[in-house]
Amino acid sequence: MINFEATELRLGLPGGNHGGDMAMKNNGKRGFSETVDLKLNLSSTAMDSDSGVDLNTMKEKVVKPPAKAQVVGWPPVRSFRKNVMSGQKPTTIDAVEGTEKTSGSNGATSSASIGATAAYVKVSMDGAPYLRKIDLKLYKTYKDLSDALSKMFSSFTIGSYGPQGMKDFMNESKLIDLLNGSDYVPTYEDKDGDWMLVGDVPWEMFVDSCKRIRIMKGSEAIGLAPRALEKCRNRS
Amino acid sequence: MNYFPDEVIEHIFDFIASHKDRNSISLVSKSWHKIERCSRKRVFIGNCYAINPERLIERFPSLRSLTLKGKPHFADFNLVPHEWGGFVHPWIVALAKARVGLEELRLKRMVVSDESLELLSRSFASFKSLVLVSCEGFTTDGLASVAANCRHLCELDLQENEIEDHRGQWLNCFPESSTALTSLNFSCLKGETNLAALERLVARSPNLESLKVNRAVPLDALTRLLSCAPQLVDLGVGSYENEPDQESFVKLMDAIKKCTSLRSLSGFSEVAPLCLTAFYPICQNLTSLNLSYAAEIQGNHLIRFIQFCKRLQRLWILDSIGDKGLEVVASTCKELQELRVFPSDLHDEEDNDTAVTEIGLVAISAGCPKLHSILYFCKQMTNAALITVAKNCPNFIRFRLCILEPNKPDHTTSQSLDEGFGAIVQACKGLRRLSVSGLLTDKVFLYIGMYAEQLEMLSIAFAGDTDKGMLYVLNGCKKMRKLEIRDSPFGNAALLADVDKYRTMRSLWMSSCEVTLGGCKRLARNAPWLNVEIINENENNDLMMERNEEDEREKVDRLYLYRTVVGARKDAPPCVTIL
Repeated sequence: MINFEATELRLGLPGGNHGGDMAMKNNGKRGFSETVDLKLNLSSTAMDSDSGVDLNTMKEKVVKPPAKAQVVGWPPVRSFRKNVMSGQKPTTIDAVEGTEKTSGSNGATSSASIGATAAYVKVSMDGAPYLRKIDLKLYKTYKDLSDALSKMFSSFTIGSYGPQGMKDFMNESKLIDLLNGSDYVPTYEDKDGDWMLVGDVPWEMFVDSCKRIRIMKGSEAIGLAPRALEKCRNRS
Repeated sequence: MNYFPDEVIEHIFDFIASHKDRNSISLVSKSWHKIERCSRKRVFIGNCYAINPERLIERFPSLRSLTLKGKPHFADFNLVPHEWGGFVHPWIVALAKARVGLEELRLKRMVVSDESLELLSRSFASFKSLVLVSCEGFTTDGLASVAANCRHLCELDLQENEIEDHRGQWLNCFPESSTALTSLNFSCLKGETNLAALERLVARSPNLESLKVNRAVPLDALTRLLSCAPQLVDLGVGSYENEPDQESFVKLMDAIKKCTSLRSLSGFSEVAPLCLTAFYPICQNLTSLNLSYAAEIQGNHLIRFIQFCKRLQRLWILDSIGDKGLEVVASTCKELQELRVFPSDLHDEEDNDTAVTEIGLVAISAGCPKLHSILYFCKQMTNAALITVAKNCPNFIRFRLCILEPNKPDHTTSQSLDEGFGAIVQACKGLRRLSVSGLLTDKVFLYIGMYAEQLEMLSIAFAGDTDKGMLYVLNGCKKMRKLEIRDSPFGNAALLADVDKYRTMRSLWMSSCEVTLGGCKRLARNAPWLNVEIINENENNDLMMERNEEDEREKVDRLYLYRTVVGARKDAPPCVTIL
């Protein structure tokens, strides 16, 4: 049975068993000063077991929370929101494509591949009023990237790539043509801070080392030519 | 009523839309039950495992609209394994087989596959509306089939789903003859968007009222879209990192000026402050504003924007707005009904004095008399503030307070926050949903049990001292439907005290509490109409069942129980044991 008096809600009287009406303002202060008094008592007298117990109870009330990093699912913010805010690719779930089991257990998804972090890089184009961020992991080849870039900046001409896409850079004479023209050329900054022509290295290496992409006028990219030209010569 | 022919009664029932009311009607008499079930068009199923599709179809042959929810709420916070369940496929198969004239499907926290979407798109000729919230398991290929095959599609609303983006041409798959779209939301898609296809689609959809694009739609495209859809009521924009140039800005603002019907604005995953100002012309018309993804906008820009939004009823914002910003909201937005303040700093890395505190909350409660729903993330709180809030706003229906640090006491008195929350439940007689946080003892649950008579959903984390806490709630809150508890010292005594209580509830979740395997087994034995699920990712199913008596004392990591009329489900993964 509940003792109603003991449980009566007395607003503004945190802790303690005070009777009657007290102004809210005083209570907070009184509570605090009680705490202070308790501590002083303990230190000035010899170990009084009662005060000791009280202090311990107080300590328990103000318990240290678990280290934040270790608390799973806290704070209660949807993972979707967390991922958007941190700019990371959300955990991908392998899509169910006809993996029906006859027993009725349907569409079991495989567990999330948390290892696949995104490779977001900023893409800027000279003269464009905005930057874009793209996730290089969404593409599998230079051609995919080239298609995506030309859609993104569709109001500007990027210039034609051959059917090979960026592999045109492998061809020395085409490269020189491109750099002499007014068409746009994609370049990127790699891990070492060097600016390179996109298409220089195998795709996977590019994805790993690319920090950001800048689409510049061919004529401006001339400075990057010597390295690219050298690579072409080495390959042929 | 006995003398009215069935058709008349049915006609009267047509005016009764609420699920609760219709459920009540069906209990009055056999004949009412029959009329009601045969005429029922919309059904809401809060737990997809409480019933199966065959029984649903049998009871409601005229079904047109189905809402299904799958995973428990804490799945949002990674507490439920991905493979747990909630598959929509068997539902679609059954509905298709029975030739139900399905027109609308709304799913929340369910697993949806491309195959399911394909089947859906081919099976229901009158299908009009697909709403997916927090779902996963499908790709843009599935969307392509919906676009291509659902001739009468009006609404495609994708909210916060995990969708694998194949960057295909799903937008191209809407046939040229498709002109019926009223609502299109693909804001959660991560990949590139075919802008030309999107523009053509919008241009041929004169009834389009709601358009929410993803981050890959740039400024100039947005301008063009707005120019051909000035009738929009609800707009979600993309991401605009860089300041636009003068010309682009002017064009955008001109297009926005023409959108005089615009009432709701969202998106903005990154936005340069100048871009935000392009929307000033329509601020005064806005009733709903969601800037809660705009991490890079500083408080002062937010404040300047909100100062124009005098008609706001719903505001979702980041705590970077600060207490000062909330004071501005309180003095500007007198029509405010719902406020959500999300944390911008999720790892508590900075000592952020621009985040919000109890001061902002009190200001809002004082300035916004119509406020009834709040979700508030903050770093500190006091009892005094909560007591003031309770006095200012006795009309709360939803009150969710999340103090970021678990177990944090009132920062001025070092006391628990029992009294503060106690004041809330005592004053807010209509409270239906409550989330508590901070340092809390059993006492707060005593208050909740005593006063929260309308409470339907309660979320508890790092709170309470003994089983008594949970018992107060189970005994007191007669209308409780969903109870979810984590990291609190409640055990078998509380779990088993009143087994029949769970007949009146949809579900109970307990994780990192004190319940043991033995206790859960006992519950399952005493309540065969419950599914008692133990989720243990580190263990194998078989290992668990082989244990001897000793291990019955082992604590259960995660417990999820729910009432059901169809027994144990057959699609549970190995990490889930159904007792």
